[in-house]
Amino acid sequence: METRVSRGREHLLKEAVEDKEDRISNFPDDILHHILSFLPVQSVAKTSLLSTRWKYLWATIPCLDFSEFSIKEKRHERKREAMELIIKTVLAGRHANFNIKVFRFKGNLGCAYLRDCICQVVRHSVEELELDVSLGGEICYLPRCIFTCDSLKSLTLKTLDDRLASFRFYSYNVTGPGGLPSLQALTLKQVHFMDRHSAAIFSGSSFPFLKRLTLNNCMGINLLNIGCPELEYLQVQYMEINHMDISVGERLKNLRVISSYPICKNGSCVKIFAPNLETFLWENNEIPEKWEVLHSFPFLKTCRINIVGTGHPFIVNATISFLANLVSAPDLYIDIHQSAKIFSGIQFKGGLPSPFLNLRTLEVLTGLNKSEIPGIVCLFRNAPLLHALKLEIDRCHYECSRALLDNFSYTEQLWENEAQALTSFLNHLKVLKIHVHFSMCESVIIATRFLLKHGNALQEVTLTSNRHHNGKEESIFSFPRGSPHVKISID
Amino acid sequence: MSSTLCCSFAKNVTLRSSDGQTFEVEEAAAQVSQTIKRMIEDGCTGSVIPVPNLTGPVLALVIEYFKKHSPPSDGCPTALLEMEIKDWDAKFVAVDNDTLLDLTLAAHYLEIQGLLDLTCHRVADILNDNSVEKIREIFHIKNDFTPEEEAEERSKIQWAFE
Repeated sequence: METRVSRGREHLLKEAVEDKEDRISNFPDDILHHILSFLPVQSVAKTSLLSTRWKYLWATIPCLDFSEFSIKEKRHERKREAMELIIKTVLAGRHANFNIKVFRFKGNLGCAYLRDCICQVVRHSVEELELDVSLGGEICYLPRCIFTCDSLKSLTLKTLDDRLASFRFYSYNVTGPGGLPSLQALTLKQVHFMDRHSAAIFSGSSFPFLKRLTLNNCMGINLLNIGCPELEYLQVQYMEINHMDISVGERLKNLRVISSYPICKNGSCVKIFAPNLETFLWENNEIPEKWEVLHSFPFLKTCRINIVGTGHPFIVNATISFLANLVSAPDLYIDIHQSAKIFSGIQFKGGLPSPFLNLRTLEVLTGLNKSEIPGIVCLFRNAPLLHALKLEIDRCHYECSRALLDNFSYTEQLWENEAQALTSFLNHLKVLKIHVHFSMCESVIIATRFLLKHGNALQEVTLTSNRHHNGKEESIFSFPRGSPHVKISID
Repeated sequence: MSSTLCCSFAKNVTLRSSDGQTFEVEEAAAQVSQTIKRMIEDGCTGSVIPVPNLTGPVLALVIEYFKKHSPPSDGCPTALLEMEIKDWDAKFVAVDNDTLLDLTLAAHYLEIQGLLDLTCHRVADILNDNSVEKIREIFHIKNDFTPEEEAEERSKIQWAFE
């Protein structure tokens, strides 16, 4: 019975379908393209089977995004062939008069086809091109057409392979007449610059409107001259650079240099003119011998520093002049592990020439080990008006496990000896937060005890830990307090 | 700015649908639509603003959207408020397909980017969740391919089915 009824219904429905108007297909192209822009590329392709109208929509869609698409095939060769065939068919089916505004691809492609593919999307006046490609050990010289593409606003080139297989190009391709007049964002990962002209590649004439530049693990370039007048964001990561010159940095707000000065060579130099800089990251780098700042950074908001190096006087002096440029920072993060010796060196030399008078929040990553204490004291001394201090503790494990009581009374003494020199710091510090990544250890307790005892302005002390409490932290409730109003909490 | 200069008394505007229904709505709320915002700026607030592409019931729905999305008088919207609006949005487009398409066209005509994204996303979800045959049925799309043509097109995008 039931089936008969439902069949009858189906029949009725079918009649209704034939009567009803197809409204959606009559929508303007731009609404339908907007609808399709929310779909993964394979779902968009499927809609091309609905009717000739939808076939046309697929052939004219402005955004082709293959970055989330992958095929189930383990063998590299097969996967590459299959991907190439798909992209070829899709591009061949394109309506010639319609631009490809966005083309994104992530996966395996052969070099020969990749070059064809780039030229084809360039002919379609591509505005945003993003390629994250596994080249399977091949080397891909970028085709010249990409460097004369007037429509290109954003270019991302990444290779997934090891360093040998990569995109390569001769920078005179870019530095020729015209440059890339529309380009606003450029990201290069594992791109090999092949010639001696590389240093001058990022010039104002080649990239007149570039706003964001990210260089990651690029080779063949150890002198970096940035002359793009509109640049706002610069990130340099995993590069072997010993000379960096940013003389045209009026608009630069965000500068990030990460793991890019592996060798502190003689003659290494950083020259910066960035009067509007707001964010500055110097992480896992050494200090260049010469640090030349053509204008101070009065608008600096956030600063993260992790300097690699020994306590050699040459490095200590270079660090002092490096830090002197950051004195206006209100917010500072310092990883003291790799730079403990440098900061100790600064401390023994009598500190920084001018303290961080604007500094309100300071975050320090440390193990609070004996060897790091002089460096930390140096930071505290140079932050006389600090409001909030966050200590992030890791790696104190080892020293604790072989702890000897003597050792700790010695550490206590180390802190006590500094009480006098830290008077201003201790009279201003209001908030102290300590986060321990392992279980609580003695060196943390000792430092907390010192800060509680002498911190006359302290209002809030918080201790947190990733591990379960081991009972040690409870003792801090009974410590003498310099400030009667301090609120202590343990989490 | 010009709107406040020439019409400083009018806090409300009147919108008239294609079938002659009129709705009164706060000026600030109606300006969620770029099209209406321009009309107000051009000084059309004295009389009734005609919205000839929308029927009364659709305009009534759009006005509901205006009210929910009018900029808060006390500055920045909070995260909680944003969450609440997101939930409201999801319920707002959980309507029959005809209404959904009406709202899509209305958002396009009135240039309400938030509503356009919302409705288009909802339509996209319907396209994504159904087979080609089912989509034709849902939206009454007539298949004008010959069987041979359809087979050929299907072979070109075989990869999308794997």
